[in-house]
Amino acid sequence: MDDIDELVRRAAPPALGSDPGNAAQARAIARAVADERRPRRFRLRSGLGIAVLSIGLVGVGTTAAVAGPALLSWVGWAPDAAVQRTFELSAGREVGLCAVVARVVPEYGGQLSDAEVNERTEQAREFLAGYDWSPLVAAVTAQDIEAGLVEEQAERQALKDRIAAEGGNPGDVPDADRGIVASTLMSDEMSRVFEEAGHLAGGVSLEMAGQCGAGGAE
Amino acid sequence: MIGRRRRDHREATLEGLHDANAADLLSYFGRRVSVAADAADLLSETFVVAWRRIDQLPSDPEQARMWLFGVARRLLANAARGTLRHADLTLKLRQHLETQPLESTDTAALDVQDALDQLPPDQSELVRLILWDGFTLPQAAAILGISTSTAHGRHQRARNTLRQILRPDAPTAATAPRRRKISTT
Repeated sequence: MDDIDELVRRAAPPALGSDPGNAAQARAIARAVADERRPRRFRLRSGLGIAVLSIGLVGVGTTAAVAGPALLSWVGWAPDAAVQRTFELSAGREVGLCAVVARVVPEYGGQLSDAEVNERTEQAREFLAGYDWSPLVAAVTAQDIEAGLVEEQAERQALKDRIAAEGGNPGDVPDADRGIVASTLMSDEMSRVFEEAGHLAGGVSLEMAGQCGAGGAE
Repeated sequence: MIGRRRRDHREATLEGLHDANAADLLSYFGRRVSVAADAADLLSETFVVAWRRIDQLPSDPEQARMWLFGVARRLLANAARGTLRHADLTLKLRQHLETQPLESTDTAALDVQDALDQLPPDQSELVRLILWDGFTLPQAAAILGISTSTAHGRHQRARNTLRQILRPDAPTAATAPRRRKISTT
């Protein structure tokens, strides 16, 4: 580095990111965008107090009619597919109902032409609407949910720790619950099949939402 | 038993990439905008575009970082044409940045910044990437989408021009006496 390099280097405007507060805010924006943009991950909504101690399949439905208006009102869009799974409490109490809705969303602006995106979107919608999701959703077991609960709680605790370390309020992160885990497992299986069918190769994303408890089918 | 919940590798990679580079990207934008708060919106938009183009994310970590700054560079060019959007999620950072002036009061620094502005844009940006943002010449070349040899030539021309502007009395490479090593046997 010669004297000119040194002159230029010293003339650099201040690095906004070197301020710890700015850096924390910048990372918070990254996480917020990820939450909004993550195309293949499930959008979580807290279940309504459901406590699934052990699970028995009572019924599975896969028509759009199964999704309750509360869930549809919350997501704000008409699903291409809706799946419903009922879980039974071990103590003989009322069943818990989980509903998952999904739709295909075109992703314009990449390397594909708009026409190609439209064609892929249409094919993906046909697949999503026509696939028999019932056996897939019916395969979710109590063991899956219990294992998922442990994993989810560990992830949330790590997030709480990170937020606390950055001076935030870890209380903003709710604890994991079985309702969230159950509906997440359902949606994960659906997105896996969707992806394996080749519909996430570009130009298309899958948007999903779900809810367990009374709101799922209200 | 169904398969365990899977987390798409590329999504995790992109999240980690954003987290690791958020502060550097903010600094990058902060050094190139006239209003500090605009850096927040550019940062947010960079993340959005990167998510939209996740299928183009290089698997190599080094290349992925250069790709991300390439996205940032193109957004900055678009923003200069007046397409910058204000996002709600950047409000907090915008408010914080509004209290942080970017204008330097150091006249020497201002002279250097003026000198940089006199360079062709492709040369001045190369110099900024290397000397302000700490990238190596090959990394800066990757961000700009040019070959390393092209970047090397531009860098040399930029340095010569800067020397003429900032050190007008100093000999340039073309006029400086050349040392020759003469050996006798």
